[in-house]
Amino acid sequence: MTLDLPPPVDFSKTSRDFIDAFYRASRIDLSDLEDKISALRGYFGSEMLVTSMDGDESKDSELRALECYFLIQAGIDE
Amino acid sequence: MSNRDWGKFAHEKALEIFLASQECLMAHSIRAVEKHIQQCRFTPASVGYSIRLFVRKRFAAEVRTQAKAFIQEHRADIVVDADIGIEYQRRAIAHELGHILLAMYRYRQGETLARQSSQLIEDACDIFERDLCKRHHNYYCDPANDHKFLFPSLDGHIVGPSA
Repeated sequence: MTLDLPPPVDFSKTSRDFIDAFYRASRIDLSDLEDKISALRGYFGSEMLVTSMDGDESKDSELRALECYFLIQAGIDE
Repeated sequence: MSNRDWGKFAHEKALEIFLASQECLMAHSIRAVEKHIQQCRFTPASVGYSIRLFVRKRFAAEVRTQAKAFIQEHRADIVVDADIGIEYQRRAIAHELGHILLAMYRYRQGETLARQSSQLIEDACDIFERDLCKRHHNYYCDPANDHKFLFPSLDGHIVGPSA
């Protein structure tokens, strides 16, 4: 199933601040994508599979999905 | 609250829940997948399995896909974009339900949940999605099912004030 997608957007400043605060509290290398993924996966606890309808299995895609899920879990709905 | 207030509360809540139920997309299928996972004992029966649905604005823009499932041992969350229309939201949910089922089958066989993706799985989830949605479509197109979910026993009941 494919649909035209809107252009990518950045999270709002509030959401970005919230995620960055989490990264800082996790004391990880903010420039390291793997570290961020690892910190978020650690936050969710047990092993987790993140599916992708579009077959994009890049680390960047995984990070964006985990960040979005983190905001949802935190109750931040834009 | 007085008895009259409780009656008013009940009328208001019935309306609120009725309206909210229209946003609970693929609710029966979600419940059915939870039940299937529990019955097939993919997880310890005493724990059960729960699937939650989140409809989120700008999700497709944020993550570059219409829906995703976040699948763990005892629960899964499906997130779907709010602006792709009900039909495609429901199809996307069905697709993610396919992922949850396949993931839990493979998990029971000893595979890790962390990495399971492949084009074969995507194709299988596409098949699951189309079959499930088409079955729903055929069911609701069949005139024999027109009155299956009506409540003729409530013919005399008048629905309370809506506001």
